[in-house]
Amino acid sequence: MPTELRHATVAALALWVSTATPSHAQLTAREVLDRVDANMTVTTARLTARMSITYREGDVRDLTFESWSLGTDQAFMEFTAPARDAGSRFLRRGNAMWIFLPRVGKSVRIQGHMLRQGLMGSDFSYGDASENPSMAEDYDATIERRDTLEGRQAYVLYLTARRADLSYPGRRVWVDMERLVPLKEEWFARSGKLLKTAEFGDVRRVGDRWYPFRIELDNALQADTRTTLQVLDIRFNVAIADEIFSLRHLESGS
Amino acid sequence: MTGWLQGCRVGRHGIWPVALAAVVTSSQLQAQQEFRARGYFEHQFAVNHTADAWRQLDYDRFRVDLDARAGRGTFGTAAVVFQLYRGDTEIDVRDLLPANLASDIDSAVITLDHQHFLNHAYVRFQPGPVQLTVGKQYLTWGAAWAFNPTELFRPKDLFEPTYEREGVGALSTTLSLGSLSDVMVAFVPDGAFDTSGKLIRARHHVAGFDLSALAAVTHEALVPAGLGIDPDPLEQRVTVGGDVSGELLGLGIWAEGIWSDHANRRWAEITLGGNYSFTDGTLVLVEGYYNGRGQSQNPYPVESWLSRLAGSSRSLGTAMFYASGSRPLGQLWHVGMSVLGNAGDGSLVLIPSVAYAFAENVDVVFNGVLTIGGEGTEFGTDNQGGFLRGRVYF
Repeated sequence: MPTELRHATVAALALWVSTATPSHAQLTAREVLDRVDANMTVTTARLTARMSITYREGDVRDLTFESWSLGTDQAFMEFTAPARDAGSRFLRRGNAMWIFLPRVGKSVRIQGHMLRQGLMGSDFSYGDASENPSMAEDYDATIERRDTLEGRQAYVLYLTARRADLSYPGRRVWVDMERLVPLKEEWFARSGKLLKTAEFGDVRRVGDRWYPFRIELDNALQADTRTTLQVLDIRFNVAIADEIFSLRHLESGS
Repeated sequence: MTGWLQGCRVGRHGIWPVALAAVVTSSQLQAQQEFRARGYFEHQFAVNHTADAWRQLDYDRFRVDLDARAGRGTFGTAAVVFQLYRGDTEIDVRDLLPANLASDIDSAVITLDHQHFLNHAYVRFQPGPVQLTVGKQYLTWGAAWAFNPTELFRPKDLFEPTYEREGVGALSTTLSLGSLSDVMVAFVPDGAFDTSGKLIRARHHVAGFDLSALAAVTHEALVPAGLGIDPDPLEQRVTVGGDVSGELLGLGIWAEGIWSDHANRRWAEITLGGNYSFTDGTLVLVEGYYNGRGQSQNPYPVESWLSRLAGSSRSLGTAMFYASGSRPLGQLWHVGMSVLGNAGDGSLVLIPSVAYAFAENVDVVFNGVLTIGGEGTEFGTDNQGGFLRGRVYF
């Protein structure tokens, strides 16, 4: 057997063993959240993605962007297409968020309930984009039941916000029992009303983690649209200069 | 309209050859370095009722933005704008004044001729924590939505605060003091060194709030030349001020203010505002503005009217307000209503708006202008009308 093929076989076996063994069966809710965070949060990451907004009439509008992330509370995003939105940039530092408007040459703080507005007309709100991706830091969790979703076994967790300022005081999360990534999430208002549903797909192995490359978001309050976020390229643990996450970079982009 | 005469300029020569050269050059340069070209074509059709007559004015506007990154933190950018007017392109300033004041000034006709200009054109060097920007650049700041007293060079059109504005020829340098803190010093050449603008602005983010402080020395004339009366001389204006914005109890809030000393007058301008967004996407925004240079009641002198038309002052009145509500209808349509008012003389303007994202790179916008107020009040004299605008991006 050629060396390359032998290595590939060993790697495939290792991958099969790591994913097929039901080693997560006895996890507590907190442990599940921690493992999900280990997959979904990053030390650093650079990502290119396409956001497709599908309208009731069947019309689809695509936006592409690049983003840079550092930990759970710093992110920078720049839209590159379509021409109307190219050059629009966002900076997130903790819960604070700013947008740069290229044709006005000015950055504006997105604050208060303005965070509920749709990000570039999508079903994602500015608040969604500014949320801490670590669920374990912001939510208490209980395991409600087990379920099967799209042929995959899943924990169903209900998350209760620890802080009053989070966009979604309640979340229900279907977590893949083997890969420990979310398969589906429901986001609730304080009243218990369902606000948004997110479905995760195209889960791929990237280095030592599983990561969903596609998120489909349905906003219950905007029945005529659906937004799909497709990751085109993602690289974890890349070197990113601190300057990227500054107001000066937001405004100059250079 | 406020600041109505800003940006009027004349020029007919060499428009299309320059545009073609820019586009051709862009495609060649794109292959050589990190280079980007984009822009839009815009057509606007407007009608308004002025001096007992309906007038129509439409224009074609073509803008090309060119950006280039040249390595080692060096960045160059420019935008060329070409604009062709049709319709009623000659406006007598007297038609924009209350009838009882029109006879106080000589006829002064402003001609909206074809024009082309650089909206901005600057080079930025950033070798380290210091950033140097040379050329016609954006000197825009201030947290307020409509009334930005700290914006000393290109005040917003209050009838459409979000529309793009021109840059200012300047040399500026910014020293980074951290990710969310910096100090900027700018020099705005205008004649001799003594009469040129100088300013320093510092900003900082602390405890969830954005703070800034500004000090500036500029030279201004309240009434510039060409408006039918003897222009005011350029006189030194000293301004200090700042702004703060953040979130309180779930509300977005901001405050912005300045104190000025100009032409033997000292006054303050203060804006307070806030916004709230409902879960269905409806955004409500309210802003109040105190202008210590304004008057609490009409009648206003002709000099104040001309100063406001020229954009030298933001309002005639002392107590102003701006409120707007907007919400999406689906995701392709957006409807809104703005109200701009003078609490002293009771006049106001209603600005209904409808925006439609016709295609991925096509926007269509309608704005109406409905003025309410007696003759001689701040908005009662303004024109009724509206515009329909289409824009195609590339």
